[in-house]
Amino acid sequence: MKFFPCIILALVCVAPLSAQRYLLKDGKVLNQADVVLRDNKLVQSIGKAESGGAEISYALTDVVRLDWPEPAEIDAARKLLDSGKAAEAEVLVTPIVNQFAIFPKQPGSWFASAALVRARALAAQTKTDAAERAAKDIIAVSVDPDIVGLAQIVLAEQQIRRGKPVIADAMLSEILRRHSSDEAEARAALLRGDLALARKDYEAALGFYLQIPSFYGSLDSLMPAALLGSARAYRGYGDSNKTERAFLELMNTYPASAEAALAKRESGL
Amino acid sequence: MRLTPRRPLIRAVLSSRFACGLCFFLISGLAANAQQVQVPIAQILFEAEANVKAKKPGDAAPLFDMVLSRVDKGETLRSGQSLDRIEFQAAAAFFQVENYERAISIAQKSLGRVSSGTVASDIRLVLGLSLALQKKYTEAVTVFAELENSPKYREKALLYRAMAAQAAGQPDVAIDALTRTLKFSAHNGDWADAVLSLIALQLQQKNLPEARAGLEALRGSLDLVDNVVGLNALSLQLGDTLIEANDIPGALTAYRTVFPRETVLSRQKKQNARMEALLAQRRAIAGAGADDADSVRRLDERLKATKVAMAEIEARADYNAFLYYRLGNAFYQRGGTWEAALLFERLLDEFPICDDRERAYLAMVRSYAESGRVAKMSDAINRFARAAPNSELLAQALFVGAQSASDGGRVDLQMKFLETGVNQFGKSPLREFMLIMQANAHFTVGHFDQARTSVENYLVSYPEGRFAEDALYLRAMSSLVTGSNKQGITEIGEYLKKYPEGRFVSDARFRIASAEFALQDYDAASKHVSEWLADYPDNSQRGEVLSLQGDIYAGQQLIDQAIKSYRAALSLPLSDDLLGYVLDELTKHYQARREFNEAVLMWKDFAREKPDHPFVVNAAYWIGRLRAREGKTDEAIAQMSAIAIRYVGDPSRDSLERLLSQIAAFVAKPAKSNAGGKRSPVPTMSEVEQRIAGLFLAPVPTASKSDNSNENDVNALAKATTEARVLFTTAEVASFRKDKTYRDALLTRIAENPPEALPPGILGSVADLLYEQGKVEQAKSFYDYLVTRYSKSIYADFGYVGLGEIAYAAGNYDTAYTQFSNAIDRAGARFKLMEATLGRAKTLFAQGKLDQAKELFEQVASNRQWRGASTAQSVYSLGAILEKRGGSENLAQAQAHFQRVYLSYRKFTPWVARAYLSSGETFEKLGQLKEALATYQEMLRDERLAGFPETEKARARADELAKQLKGGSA
Repeated sequence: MKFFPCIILALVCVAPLSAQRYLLKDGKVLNQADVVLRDNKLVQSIGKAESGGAEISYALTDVVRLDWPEPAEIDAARKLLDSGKAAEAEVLVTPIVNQFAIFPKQPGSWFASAALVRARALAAQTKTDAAERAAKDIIAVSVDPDIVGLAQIVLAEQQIRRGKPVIADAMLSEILRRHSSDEAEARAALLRGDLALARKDYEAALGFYLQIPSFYGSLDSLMPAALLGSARAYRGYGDSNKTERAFLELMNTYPASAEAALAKRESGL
Repeated sequence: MRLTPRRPLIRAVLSSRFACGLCFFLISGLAANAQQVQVPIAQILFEAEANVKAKKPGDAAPLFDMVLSRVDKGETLRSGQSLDRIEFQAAAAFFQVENYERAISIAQKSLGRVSSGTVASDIRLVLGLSLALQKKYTEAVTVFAELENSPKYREKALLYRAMAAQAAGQPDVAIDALTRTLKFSAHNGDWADAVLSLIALQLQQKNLPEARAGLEALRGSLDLVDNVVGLNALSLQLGDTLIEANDIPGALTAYRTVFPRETVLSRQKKQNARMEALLAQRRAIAGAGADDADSVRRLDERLKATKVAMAEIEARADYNAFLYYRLGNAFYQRGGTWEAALLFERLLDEFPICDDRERAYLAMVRSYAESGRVAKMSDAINRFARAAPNSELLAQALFVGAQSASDGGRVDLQMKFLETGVNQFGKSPLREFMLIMQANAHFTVGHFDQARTSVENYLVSYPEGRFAEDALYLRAMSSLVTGSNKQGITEIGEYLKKYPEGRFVSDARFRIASAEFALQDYDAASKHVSEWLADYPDNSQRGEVLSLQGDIYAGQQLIDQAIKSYRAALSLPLSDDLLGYVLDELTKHYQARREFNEAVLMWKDFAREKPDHPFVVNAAYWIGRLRAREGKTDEAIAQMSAIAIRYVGDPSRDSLERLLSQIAAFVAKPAKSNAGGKRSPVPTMSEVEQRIAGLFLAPVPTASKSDNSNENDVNALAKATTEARVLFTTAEVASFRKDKTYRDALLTRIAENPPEALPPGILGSVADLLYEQGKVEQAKSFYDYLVTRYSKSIYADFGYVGLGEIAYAAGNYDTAYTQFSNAIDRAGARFKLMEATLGRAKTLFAQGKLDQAKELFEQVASNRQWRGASTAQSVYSLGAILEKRGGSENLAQAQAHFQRVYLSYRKFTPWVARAYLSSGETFEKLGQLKEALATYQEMLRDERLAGFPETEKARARADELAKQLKGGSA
């Protein structure tokens, strides 16, 4: 098979679109810097205040789209979460959730993405009720099927926390039937691995955990959990060599992850 | 708006119509009288600039050219107008209308005059780009190198230089430029593109570690990549190159960066939408600069290229198969056999007819084989055979499967694969290997006749084959083990004649002596053994030969010499089996000569010299028994427990339970109180419990508690194991005294421990009790732990039988049959052969496999050692089989079986109840209603059967029959 290496050579400068703008239903565009949010309205000042300038108000419902780059806090919070700092992630991302909460459904809004990180941060701190509420909020407003699927996975995870593995498993099946994004599939596989591990079905657990490196290798953020799960499952299965190898790979490749710390404790390596 | 209110007049003459007219006038050369109507140079310049602003470079370019021409002819520019600036504008305009030659000419002329400053940099950029677009890459590289000195263009210059150098065939220059670009570039789409280009170049230059490092850097920021299809292509190419270079982890990293077909298409679609929006935006705001124009042009090209690439990927329906195969292969080569199996499974599931199908099947078989998943491997081979029965690779799969099945203890599968391989692939080069493996496998499992057949087939097909020596020797061994000693001796002779220096000569000579010993030709055997011992003073088999010499002397009743030979054998390396044999033989001879102390000393020496040997527990057992034979029961208990206490906290020492049972047997009996031999009163269970606890439970000093939590866990586990063993020993005493209630109470207490704390012998007994008590889940967890943690233990059959019973009760007959078979085939059914055989029989019956069930029930019923409930069950089941077959003859025979149960096995009331009911029903089927009624009535008279459900059914049938018969007689 030929794989078009010529494409690589066609180097081009593609600068990101970095405006922060509100697009109104009448076609008008408001720069974020030119307006303030007041009384549930966007308020634009005309002229200078000292010379008797005026203000124009726009209803929030007039905003049909946001033209906004991803706030850096979202990615930073994701990274904190991956390194086991869930409380810090929650603190960092919550203002972003609040900022975009007034435009939850508009295209270009970062509400759902930020709220998903927050829901995961809550789940990681075992704030089960809060995580469930956050996930349900996302499901209620987001029109992005991938994000909805991921929020539903957070809900399924809470069912496991509540000791209802059968319900969780049924939810995961339903999620996978409806959504097929790589991340949703990978996260569902991780949870199913956890369920199988809990019932000591080690072979099945390995079949789920190892889907991450096998089929979703580009999702690096899920690798630590997959490696930790597979190390535990190998141990249950009785394969000490592979157990040690998985622990070592986790500790060497993802040393800053929360799972690496657990691996160190569990493996004694 | 181009005009300011300060220049209203000019505004009037610069309408577009006028501009076009002017342009035409100037260019056409029709202005023969130009000198008369010459337009001022400033006005032309102004018009040219206006066209630039109006994004009409085509109109601007000739105007600029006109200005430059007139300047060349000596006209001067107004003050404030810079020739450099005009030249830049002119070059840029010509660049935009793709007249690169003219742009180059203007730029070069300008740079010949002014080579530094901002405008010079602007012009240099136009020149570089124009040269590049004229494919004058080498010259362009030089221009961009000079442009790097400009702070304004440094980043772009590096990037363009890299591109030009790449096109000029100067990859090292391109790599250098890109590497420097990445040092100060922010992590964004440009950065990701630059990294991609750098990886491509490193790959082209075979700088694999650098290419790999580049990809690893990019993996953390895959979302930044606009050119997703390009990334996929590059990652695949890099993966293939790294595989060839044997950098498997690197290849794996590369392949794992490749997105599957649906993902790459979806991502690229999103990126294209973004690029299209950007392109529109760029077109709307693009200035007159050459870099703006170039950026737009390249972005457009990029979009077109990605669309073409996407179309190609869309056309490749098997794109993922290609990816899965590579990933699977890389995982496999790195030892990730589980991951590889997952990938090959998915490949074959999603693409059952793809090009890589046969290779994928073989790779999947190998992956399962190497991860020790024999059942999965077997299934994979069967699927392969169905999908591609004539594939050459199937022979390889069968060979791999046979090896793996052998390693996994699945001789049945090994035989199956070898038989298929040998018979179906007669021309395969692997057949020779499979034939000899088949012979060895048959020999190992005791199918000596088949082993002989395989060997003879081998010798016919490959008389001078690479395993001919092995085959010839194996043939002789097959004769010996089947008791054909004379034939064996002859065949060994043939072997020795053909291979006088062969690999098996010393063993062959030993086997001849063994065969002679078996033929009771002690003189010949003795002679050959002596010769052997003289010829092989350092041979590793010497201990075995000395043991044979001991046997020969014993056969000749030369016990002193026999003991001497056995003792000599003991001083040499022996297999555990042989060591046990020699120790037992010596013990037997010492006992026969009543030299108990000699035997005790021998075992004590053994325990002292090999304190960690598993037979130390045997030593304790024998020391105890021998001391007891001397009447020294207390000493026996003390010496046995002194050894037992060393291992009492270690659950993996599974032979200890045998010793504990022996201790229990001694403790259960009253000690002799004095020399007169009068026995003390039988100790109460409470006294027994106290005594056993005193033997093994030492108080744990508080100071010994460690700060290390792992160590504390281990100590806690050892303590739990010790306590469980104390309870078990006491339970054994209760068992000897037939106090089942007390025994069960103690075992129930043991069941409170986690399975990890319990040795296999105790796990089995406790799990059996839990199952009997209806605690199925807990019993299952104990059985599971037993067969997974202690699969090689002699008590593993408890686990397999238990799991078989649970599956049988749940109606999972396939699983039940497998587990009952595992108890026999894997665990050797040392304790549960009867239960396993009966389990298999009843499972086969439940599956409707009546002939196979009958054979096994007959086996159980005819085994005298198993007389009891199992016999009653088997006889009843044989009757049930006949009843199921129907027909008067079978029913009559069934009747005989049922009657035999309630007449001969009355003790086993559950089976008696069933037999009565079945007997009555059979009489009814035969139309013998009176006999049926009599049978039911007889059953109802037996008070022991009152609580059984069968009795209620019998009562109902009796009432019904009584009415019928009464009505009939009336």
